[in-house]
Amino acid sequence: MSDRLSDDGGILKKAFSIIWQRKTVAVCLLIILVIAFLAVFADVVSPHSATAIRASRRLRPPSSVNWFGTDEYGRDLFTRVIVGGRTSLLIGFLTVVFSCFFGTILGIVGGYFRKVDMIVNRIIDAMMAFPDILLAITLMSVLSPSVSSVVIALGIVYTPRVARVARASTLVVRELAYVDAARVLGVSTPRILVQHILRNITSPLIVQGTFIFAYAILAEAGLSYLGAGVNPEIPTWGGIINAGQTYIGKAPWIMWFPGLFIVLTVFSLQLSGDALRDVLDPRLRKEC
Amino acid sequence: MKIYLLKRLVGMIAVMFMVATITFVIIRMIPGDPAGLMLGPDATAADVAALRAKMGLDESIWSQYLGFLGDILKGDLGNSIFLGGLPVLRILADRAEPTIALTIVSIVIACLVGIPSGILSAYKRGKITDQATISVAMLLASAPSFWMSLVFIQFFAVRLGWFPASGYGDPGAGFFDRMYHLILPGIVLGLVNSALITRFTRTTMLDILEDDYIRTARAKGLGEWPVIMRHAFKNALIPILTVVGLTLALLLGGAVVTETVFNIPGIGNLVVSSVLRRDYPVIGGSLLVIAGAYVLVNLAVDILYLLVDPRVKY
Repeated sequence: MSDRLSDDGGILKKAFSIIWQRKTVAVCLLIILVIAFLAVFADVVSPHSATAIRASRRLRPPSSVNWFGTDEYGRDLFTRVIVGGRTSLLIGFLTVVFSCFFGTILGIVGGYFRKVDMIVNRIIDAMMAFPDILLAITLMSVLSPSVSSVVIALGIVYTPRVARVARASTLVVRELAYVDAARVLGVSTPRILVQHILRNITSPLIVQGTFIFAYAILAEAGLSYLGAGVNPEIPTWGGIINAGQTYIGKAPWIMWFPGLFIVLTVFSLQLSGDALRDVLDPRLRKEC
Repeated sequence: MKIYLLKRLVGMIAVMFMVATITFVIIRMIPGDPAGLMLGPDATAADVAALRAKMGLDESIWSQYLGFLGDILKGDLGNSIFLGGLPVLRILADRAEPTIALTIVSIVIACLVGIPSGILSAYKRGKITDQATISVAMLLASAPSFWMSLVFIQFFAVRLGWFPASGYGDPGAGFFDRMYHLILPGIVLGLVNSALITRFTRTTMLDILEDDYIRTARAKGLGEWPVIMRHAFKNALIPILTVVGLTLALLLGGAVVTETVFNIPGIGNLVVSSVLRRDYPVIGGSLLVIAGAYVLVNLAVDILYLLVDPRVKY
């Protein structure tokens, strides 16, 4: 029995047609794919090592040998930037998984059970009163500097954002006739929550997940820049910019390129999120 | 209206209570012993034990929690571990001025950029100007503020020498000198946060432009520009006010990073340095104060909304 409001085939078809119609979205998706490809296959794409120190080639400007120039230790910046993308994208993706998992549970439980809703809602409000980056660096101060710690810190920061969306959607769906019908038929509560509520609130969650991917990349870069992110020896976009700021007058390219990669990735993700929202939420389509 | 305000106030107190609880939980997650951390590696076990007893760390977690809430109500946020053991509230009060000044400069710039570009975008809807404005707004929202700060420092401070690259003037610096130091960070923070205002202004204007009274204004022969400015924008102002309030609250977070890049001695800079040296009382106090400011700004915006729009009634 299919009880979904919209079928997947239709959404996929619409998604492809929107991508086809809007060339910018296609370009954005391509940019994300290229950056992800470079990050995954960095060792194959670049002939240089991300960590090999060559004192004789310190602070060289971009050239045909070192496309993005070299840093203060003579390391190839192009390789470091694409390897840095590996950490940023991984943390961004895992943050989405973490916050969507816990946020969805929190939001559905809050939205469906009125008695717990007041507490859940207050927790969400209180968590959202802390600025993202402030809460993230505070959490990092009690955690060790590792990829998993950053994912946990950012995951906790963004869980309330997902929970808010999940709660609002659940409040709408729980009043629909088919949920009542399921209740009357004696379907168990866990089954109603998963089969009838969760499956019908996935669209706004996917859209929110895309935006959280973008915010998490920005926040991770901020944490690494402030020295409160992953181990400083692992190349990250924020970490490279931090190291490069000392040479801002002499070798500004060190901070240019990782920054451009962040802007490109976040911009592409946000634009894709907007397009996804247009596809998945027809009420907003007139705005585009 | 009185009942609405009372309800909001009770809601705000509940949220602040949760904020305090979350702060307590985070601070209690600290690995190691806060008393040992405060006294340093040379302290004797007896000294540490004495301080633990004084700080109430030997008591049960519940009595510590109640003590924490009681201290907050008394306005006591504890003492810094490192900054000469000064009370956290005094440290925060000393650092508040640059943060408040930076926030005001940034919100003014964000409005000066965001509102006109949103109007322009709505006026030229569907045209290339509209698309370009929205794309630039989105691009600005995608740039990390610390990176934009460095790019601006490199160009306007290092290369052109127009603005100071960092600081907040000498300790005895006058008002104008301090403001001069805030122009560059204010522009960066304002630009990054203008995107939300631009997009919201555009959407609100487009909604209003479909209303009947706009059709009437056009029918009586008014040009497009007077219709936009005199009729549409006037009515869009109130929703825009909400998003400006939201942006103001977001700026409090943005200031954390920007103050660090520009080395402005504000609360944001204090938080980052406290995190790096694990000064937990200062971290906890800053969390409470900034979250409190966020909640207050949101409440103030709602009340303002109520006061300026005669149609809004609760």
